[in-house]
Amino acid sequence: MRYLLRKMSSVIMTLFLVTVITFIVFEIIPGDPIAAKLGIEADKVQIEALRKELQLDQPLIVRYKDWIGNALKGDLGISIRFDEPVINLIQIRMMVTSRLALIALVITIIIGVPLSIITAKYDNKGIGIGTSIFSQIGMALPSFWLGILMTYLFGLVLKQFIPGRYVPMEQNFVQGLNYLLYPAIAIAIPKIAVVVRYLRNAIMDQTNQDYVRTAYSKGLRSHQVMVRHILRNALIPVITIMGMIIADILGGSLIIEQVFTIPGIGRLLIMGISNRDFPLVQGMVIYIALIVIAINLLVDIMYHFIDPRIKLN
Amino acid sequence: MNQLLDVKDLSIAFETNEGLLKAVSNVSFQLHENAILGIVGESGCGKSITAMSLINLLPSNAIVSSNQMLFNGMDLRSIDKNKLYEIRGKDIAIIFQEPMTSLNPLMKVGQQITEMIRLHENSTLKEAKQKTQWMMKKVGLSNVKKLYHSYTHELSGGMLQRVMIAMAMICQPKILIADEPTTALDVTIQAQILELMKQLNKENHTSIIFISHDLGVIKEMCTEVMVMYLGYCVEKADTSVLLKHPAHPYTYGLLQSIPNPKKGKSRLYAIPGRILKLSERPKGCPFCTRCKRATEKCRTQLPELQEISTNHFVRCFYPLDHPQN
Repeated sequence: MRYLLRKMSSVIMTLFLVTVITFIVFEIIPGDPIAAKLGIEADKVQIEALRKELQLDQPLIVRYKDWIGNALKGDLGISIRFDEPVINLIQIRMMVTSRLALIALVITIIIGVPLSIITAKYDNKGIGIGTSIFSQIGMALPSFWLGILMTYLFGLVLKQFIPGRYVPMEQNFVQGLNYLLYPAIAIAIPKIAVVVRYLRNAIMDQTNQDYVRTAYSKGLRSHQVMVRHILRNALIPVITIMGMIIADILGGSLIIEQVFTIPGIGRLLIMGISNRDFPLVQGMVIYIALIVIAINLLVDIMYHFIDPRIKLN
Repeated sequence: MNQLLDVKDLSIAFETNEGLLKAVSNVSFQLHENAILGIVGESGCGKSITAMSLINLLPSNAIVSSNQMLFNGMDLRSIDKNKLYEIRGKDIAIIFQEPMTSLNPLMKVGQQITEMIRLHENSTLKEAKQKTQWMMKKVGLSNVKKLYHSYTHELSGGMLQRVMIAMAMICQPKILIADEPTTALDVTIQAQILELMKQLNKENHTSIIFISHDLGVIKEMCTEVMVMYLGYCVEKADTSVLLKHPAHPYTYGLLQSIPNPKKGKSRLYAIPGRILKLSERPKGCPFCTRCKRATEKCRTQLPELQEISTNHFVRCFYPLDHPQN
């Protein structure tokens, strides 16, 4: 209970600070949402009317107060660029991004975990060295570069999908999956490299522990020792990394969505910023902050379940 | 008495960056049914790895060779992997030195015992659970229903060592290897654990290989003792003989270093010098650098293990307490 209270207060504090900072940043950076919407040749009366409507004539503090008041009621305002409620915009894009994230995460886990085990087991042999090199390179590769490479290879050469197009899963499930799979792979490769690096080290650390020798002395086979004893202990330090990876993917892989023209959170954010669409950006900042907070909370709770030595308070 | 274990000329070396390091040289020993064999020596003398080599629990850079390693008529050197997994835990079980780190911190202690039963016996989870709780009671744990669901960090060292013993004894192994089982425990708990092991030895007819650096503890526990120094067996005899007539200067030194309250305020005896690294082992007698009686012969020639009286072996040119000297 006390844990929850403490956690809640820190959540509120974080959200407050995040919104204040974005408000101020938007005040400082050059650019004008009205010019972005009406064009440079709009006449003065029109501009003045829109300025009033958007309350841009009011001082910063008043605007923030109004905005936060509405946000608390669940109303994040209306996007200047799209003339649609911000919440609706985010919800639609969120469906796309969360699917992409889920696929990327599944790929990361089903490839990353077995690969870590193999690398740890054959540390100094060919496979181990090979995967070490892969993980080193994989971490250094930017995923947008992988994305461009994959668009070229699978899109233009192998014609697996049409670059620049996107088919939602609702329309055609197989096609939709296909359009999310390649960007998911581009996201997953560097993440797999990170997982392999950390999990391999954790497994190798655990393999030298006394309890592993005990497990062998009981007559367990090495795969049983790995699955029942080593892996669970090795996962503890990796959970934090996994949490960061999930938050990173869900927060919108900005560039990947741009490269594969996927209408997800990342593209929405970029559009919002380039149009100085502050209600939209403000809403998305809150959304991303909430995701990061939720995932951190989830990591804490998972620690509690995996490691009996850790109590939440 | 039947011979349960017969090891001849066991040598163990480790492949390291500095080359091949010989850790155990030509050690032979037998273990009889119901017997408790003590292996004593300072840290690094090879006593633990001698025992671990029986069920191949050494790190992968270890090279083991021997002329014979018979367990119950079966040669442990040539058994296949499946048989080895079967012997581990079921026929030869081990209790380790550090109960706090030798159990899995994320697994309930009861489950760790149950895992052993399920591995070697065909029993349902329920039966295995009941057997676990029965065994936990037998090794002197109370409130076993609750303890079954505890984790290692919730129990004391003494309790954990009891759990370890319960785990090792649950399949009624023929041999129990106890690798310094009381070194990490408080002295008061130490006596209780030793008593428990003696009791299990009597009731279950389990033979024990008891590894310790403490001759005082060995004295209480063992029927036979083997003294090791730098990988060599330097003396081997029945406990009573060894204590009364130590023949090797090293054994004598060890006996002198046991604190004796009756002696009054005298200074505690310590064997002079330090333990050598494996890489600096002398050419002759391994103990020659610390031995007061060492001669030129000791420094250049390795003495053979010789039988100076029935079942009393010593590796020394000038054994103590011997008519010739």
